[in-house]
Amino acid sequence: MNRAGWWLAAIPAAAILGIPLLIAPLYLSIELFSLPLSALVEFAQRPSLLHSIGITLLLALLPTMAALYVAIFFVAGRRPPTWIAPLLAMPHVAFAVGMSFILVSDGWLSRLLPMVNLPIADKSLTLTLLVLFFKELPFLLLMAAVVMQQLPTRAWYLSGASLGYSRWQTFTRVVLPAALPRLRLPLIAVAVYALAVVDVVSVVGPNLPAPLALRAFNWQQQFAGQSQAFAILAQWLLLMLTLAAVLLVIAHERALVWWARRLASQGPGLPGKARKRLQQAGQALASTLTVTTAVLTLFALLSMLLWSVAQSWPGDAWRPQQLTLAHWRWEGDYVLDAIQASLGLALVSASVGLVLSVLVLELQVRVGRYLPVWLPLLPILLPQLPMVIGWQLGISYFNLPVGWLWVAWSHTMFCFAYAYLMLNRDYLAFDSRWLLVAASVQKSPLQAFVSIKLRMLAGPLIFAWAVAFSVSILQYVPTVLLGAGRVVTITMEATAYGSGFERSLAALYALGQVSLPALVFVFAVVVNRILKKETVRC
Amino acid sequence: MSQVTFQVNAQVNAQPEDEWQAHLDAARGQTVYFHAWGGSAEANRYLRWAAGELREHYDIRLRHVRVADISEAVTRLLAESRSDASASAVDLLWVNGKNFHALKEADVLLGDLSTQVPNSHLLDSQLPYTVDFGIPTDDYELPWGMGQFYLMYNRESAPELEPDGYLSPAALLDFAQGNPGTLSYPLPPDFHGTTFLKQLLIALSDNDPRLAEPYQVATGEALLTQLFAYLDQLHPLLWRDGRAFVGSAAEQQRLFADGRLLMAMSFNPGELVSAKARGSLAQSSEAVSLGPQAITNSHYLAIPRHASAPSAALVTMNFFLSPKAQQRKADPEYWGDPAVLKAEHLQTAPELRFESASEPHVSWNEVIEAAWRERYE
Repeated sequence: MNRAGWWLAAIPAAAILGIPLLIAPLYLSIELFSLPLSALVEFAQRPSLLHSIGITLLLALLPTMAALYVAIFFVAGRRPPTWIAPLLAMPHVAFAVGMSFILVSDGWLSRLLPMVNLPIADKSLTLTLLVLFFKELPFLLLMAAVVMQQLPTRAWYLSGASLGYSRWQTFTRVVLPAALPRLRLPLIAVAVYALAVVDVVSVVGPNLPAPLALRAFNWQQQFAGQSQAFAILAQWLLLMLTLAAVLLVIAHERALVWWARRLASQGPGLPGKARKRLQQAGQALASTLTVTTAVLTLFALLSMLLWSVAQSWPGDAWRPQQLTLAHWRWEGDYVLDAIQASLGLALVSASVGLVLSVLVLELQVRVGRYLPVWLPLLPILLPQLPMVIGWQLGISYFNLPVGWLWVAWSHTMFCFAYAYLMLNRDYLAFDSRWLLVAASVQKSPLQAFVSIKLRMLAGPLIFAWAVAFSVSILQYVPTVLLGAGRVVTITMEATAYGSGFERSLAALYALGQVSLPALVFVFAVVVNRILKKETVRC
Repeated sequence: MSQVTFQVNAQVNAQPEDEWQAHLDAARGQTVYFHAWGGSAEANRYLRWAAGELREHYDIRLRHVRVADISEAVTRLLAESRSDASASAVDLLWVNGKNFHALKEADVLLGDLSTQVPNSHLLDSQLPYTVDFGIPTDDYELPWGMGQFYLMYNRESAPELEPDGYLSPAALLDFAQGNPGTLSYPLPPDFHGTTFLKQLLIALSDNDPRLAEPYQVATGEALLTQLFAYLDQLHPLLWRDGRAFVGSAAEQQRLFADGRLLMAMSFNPGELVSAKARGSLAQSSEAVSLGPQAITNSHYLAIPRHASAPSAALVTMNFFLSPKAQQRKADPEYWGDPAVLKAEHLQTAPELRFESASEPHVSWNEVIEAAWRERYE
């Protein structure tokens, strides 16, 4: 195909991915402009609206920034350990359910260690902030590790040392300013996720008032009075808050880079004792918190296992009093049903999402023009709730039947964006001279593409697929709103049972939810190993 | 059994048998998306059993779409009607009160249910099911079961709560003062939470007759003032100092089972019995009514006018009203939700424990919920 042909091919690709992103603001606008002014006035008078906005921004920024600093201090000292990656397999809701059992005062932790009784209340801002912080930390650590690999840090540290800089000094003056801009998009993705998250907040979050996203979701689900109008207005407010959060993340990054540059202009100098101690304390804290998140994840898993076989577990005991397999026997089939539904959706949407992201990347290579990195990532850089509600409005406007197809389609959008995030740097860095070599041994362009390019990129491709798969498993809002009950995934069940009466059922479904991403990550690791071995043999 | 019942009914009801047979034929292979509250473990298990029966006897697949609140399904139906959708996502729904009122007003429900559902003539006409929260049902919904609102407490952890027949609002406040941080109620507009407020209103006002009428500011505001004066005293004594509330009755029961809360609430007369039998709640758990009369209502089944599988929905509804299904539903071992059929069709007559109070007129719901949010959110 010549270049013009590839340009033509770019049009359908842009349509498939671009139209959904346009539909959401379009229908949100149509609804917005059909609202009477009185709705806006009434919306502005909603009790505690400012309070909701405040906690929403806090949820978006505080855990994200805290996790960023922990990640920074960590990678300044050493590479994150490999056991970080499997922690990503723990779904947010399952983690939240576990934390609400473990961390709260008189919770499991205080029963195991009676001298530790944290003053953390159930359904509180503190608990939600902790859940988000510990859940996002592994992701940001992993992204930081990836960024570190892309930078020539070894050479920098060496030349820094030869100029009399300590490792920490070189890190703050040279490595950090180079790394921060590359962490910008993952940071924004984390902040925007926390800004619009519904499921986690409905399990552990404050509710009087609730964060804006949860209030918006509740308004969307109600018909009384002006609820529907409030839902639309809340979506616009969420979009504006997203913009504010993005600007704050960028401003923070600029400030930090400016600080690092100023340090650099001052030369090495001798660090003060206090400053050095502070830096050591920071690194020690970062290591401790990283270990803590792993321990908490393990304990969440352990508590689920115990609950799933608990006949009774009184509120003051550190372990169940009687064990039973009855929950597994009674619910096992239903857990499997839900897992099956999730599996089908995730296989389809992760695979289609991966193919689309390869397509979009390959088109850029062929055409020789490159998109700004943020553009294909828009599905995860924009808050999910307004986007899904925009789609729902569009779908009902055209009277299209609800169900599986729309759910799969919405999952695909998010899978695509995450696959693209994981893949783009490796893919665009691929040295195309390998393809010339292939052509010289008379391989067709397609053969060369598959057997050389895809084969050499197999590692990143498999991990991108695994992440996309987990992303599909985790989807809650699009499955509920676009599925209309036609699709019941393990995440919907885990969320419903997570705030239900029986902890044993909550645990059982949460375990079901963990199992799929965990299996896929193990699969990805194993396949990657095998492929690497093969490559060595070749 | 239900097959036999149906044949008898069809004749008594003088409904053209071939018309019903046509429904039975059309229903085969169809899927019924039954939107129903999913917060009750007993109801969920019962519906699993029903799904098995319907599949075996009628070749219908019953899918329970478990909603946190049926207003989700109502919102969906209202949106569908605005966009003139020809096929609804909902085939059957479990509904009452304000949700039914909204659907009836929007004219999105299938009417003449009693002539279309043969088993409807088995219904006990002594029960006050033709009026739902002060609104005539007009055959747009058929009763399915009964609920009576009560509180659960544990006689061992709350020995001072030995009420003489019922718990008065004053005694509840006393208890809260003696045990701060141990009570909560589901955040309105959760229907258990709103019912708790209505129950308080009834108890505080001695079931004022104005509650049966549509709300009017001139006469009704005094009652609300009374309610909020009480709540202002109660809230600082609640769990989390009244700054956060449990999200649902199910969540409240979980905290009650953990011993973190000393009270929970339920609408299902059989729930306490079955939770005790399963070991989910302590044997020393007891039921008590808040005030001398407990809010008692019927809950109903309705079919959207544009249901995608209307025949299967009718057959399912007929099955739910069969003696076999009603008998099992009333059994506390399975669900414990009182039956709505005449006693002669049942082996055991359902029993309501407390003296009944009717639901206030539907208009009170929204007024109470809005005023509550205005004041406490």
